[in-house]
Amino acid sequence: MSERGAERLDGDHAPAGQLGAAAVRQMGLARGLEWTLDEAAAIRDQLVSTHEGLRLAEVRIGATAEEPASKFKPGGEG
Amino acid sequence: MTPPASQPWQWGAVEAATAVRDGAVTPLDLLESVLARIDAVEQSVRAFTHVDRDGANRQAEQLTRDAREGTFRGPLHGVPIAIKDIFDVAGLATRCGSALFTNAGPATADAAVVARLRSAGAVVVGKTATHELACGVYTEPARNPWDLSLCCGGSSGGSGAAVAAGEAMAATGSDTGGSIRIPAAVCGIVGIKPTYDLVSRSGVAALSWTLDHIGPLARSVDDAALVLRVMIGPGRGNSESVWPIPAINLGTTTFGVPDDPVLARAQPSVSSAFDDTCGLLEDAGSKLVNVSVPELAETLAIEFAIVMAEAASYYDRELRDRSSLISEGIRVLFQSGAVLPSEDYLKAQRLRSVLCRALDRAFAEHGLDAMCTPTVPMPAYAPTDTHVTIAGREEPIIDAVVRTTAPFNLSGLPVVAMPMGLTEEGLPVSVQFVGRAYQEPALLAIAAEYERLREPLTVNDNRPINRQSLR
Repeated sequence: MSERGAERLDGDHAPAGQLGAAAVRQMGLARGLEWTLDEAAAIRDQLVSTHEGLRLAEVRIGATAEEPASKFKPGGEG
Repeated sequence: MTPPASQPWQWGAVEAATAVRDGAVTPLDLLESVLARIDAVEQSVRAFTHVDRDGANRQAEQLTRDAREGTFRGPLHGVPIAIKDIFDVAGLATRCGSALFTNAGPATADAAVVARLRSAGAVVVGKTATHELACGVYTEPARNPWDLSLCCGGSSGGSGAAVAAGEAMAATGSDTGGSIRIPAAVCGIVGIKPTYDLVSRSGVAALSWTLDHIGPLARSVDDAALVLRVMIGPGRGNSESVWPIPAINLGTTTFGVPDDPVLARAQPSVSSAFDDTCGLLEDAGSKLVNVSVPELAETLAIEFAIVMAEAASYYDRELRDRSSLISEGIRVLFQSGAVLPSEDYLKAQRLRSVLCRALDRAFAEHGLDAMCTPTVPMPAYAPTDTHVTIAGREEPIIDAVVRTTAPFNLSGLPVVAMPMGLTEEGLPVSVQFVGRAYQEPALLAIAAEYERLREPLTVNDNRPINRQSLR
């Protein structure tokens, strides 16, 4: 999750790495998913790790907004 | 053709179908032999979640009557096959290896692929074990026929074990990040992950629909190609050219050998067998060129982001109502997918496009007919193993086996995984050949030629499951 995204969700300008378990729990509740704080913490860790992996990948190999992302077709564009 | 002097359960699908067509055996003979084999070894292998003796017998009886009247439904007439338990089989429950579906009622219709297999004359022996929700690489409680203390891989582990142990002549599998090729590799058999979308996913439980591929597992390239042809269906793609496998001259074939650590870093027993494989191909006149696709290093981040988002969407209702019935590791992954920001999912898909183009570029720049690389970087592992050390680096087993297979789920390119030898401990190791999109006939031709070149796998007589008599 980007820092901007984390701000929106946490409301306290927390960077993605510090996104709180309570905020993740709220995100789940907004979708009708009830999680304990422990569960929410594990989910937060997974989200942060996923986001960080993608961020680093973007830095290393690049993926601009122009890259097609909506339709996958093997052996061709997209 | 005179049937070989061995038990029918030891035959391959092509051999068995030919024997039926020639009148040497009946479909009932084949089924009886396979069921006897199941009786002999299933208690140890535990490949099946359900053996459908009654249903299989009914099919085999009808197919035997048909054969006596000179009617053959198709190229698999009478061949006993097994179906991974995420595929719907009419009349049987689809439980996906999950407590979520313990009380599932019987499916009302066959998955499209199962219907095609039946139409071609295959006899459905039963449902094979899958790792929970097709999301994992252990497939408990199924075991590896080469060493019953070890895993058969996953998620199509039951299919891999059943075919390797002679409990079915072929089986269906699904592959989202290696789930056909990993069991094929550790069980010493052939697995095909065809080009994305070439085989219908209708009636098959999804994990991640832009990564899910359906394909066969079998004991030879020829058998796997025949089953793949049936699975694709008539008039689709190159199905008519998939089997019989076309001839190819390896002397005019160019292979790319990726030297990127994500694919090349393997345990010594695997690296050594892979070097031998490259040597065999060179001796046959093939041109091998080192290629570098550094983008592949990002495979795991992209793969898991896509899987978690799509699985969360597919299992939305279950995550709301019954998430406690999902094992913790999978549950956290799916729950994370439920709140993964859309920008991260889209970023993963964009990065995937970058990776796809990098692979396309490697094929084009070097004029490759195929890439070859170890299927997985180590032989079979134990159910209790969570990590493995490879070239001095410890990594989770799931990362180790998925990093070499998932690049081709992301790219959608077709892959044949097949045995390339045995370790000193007598465990199979596997090579994967990666082709161009929709070029399955050429890829299978390469695999079949390689199969002819390498020595057949042999094992000691005193193994718990004696595979020496399997060809």
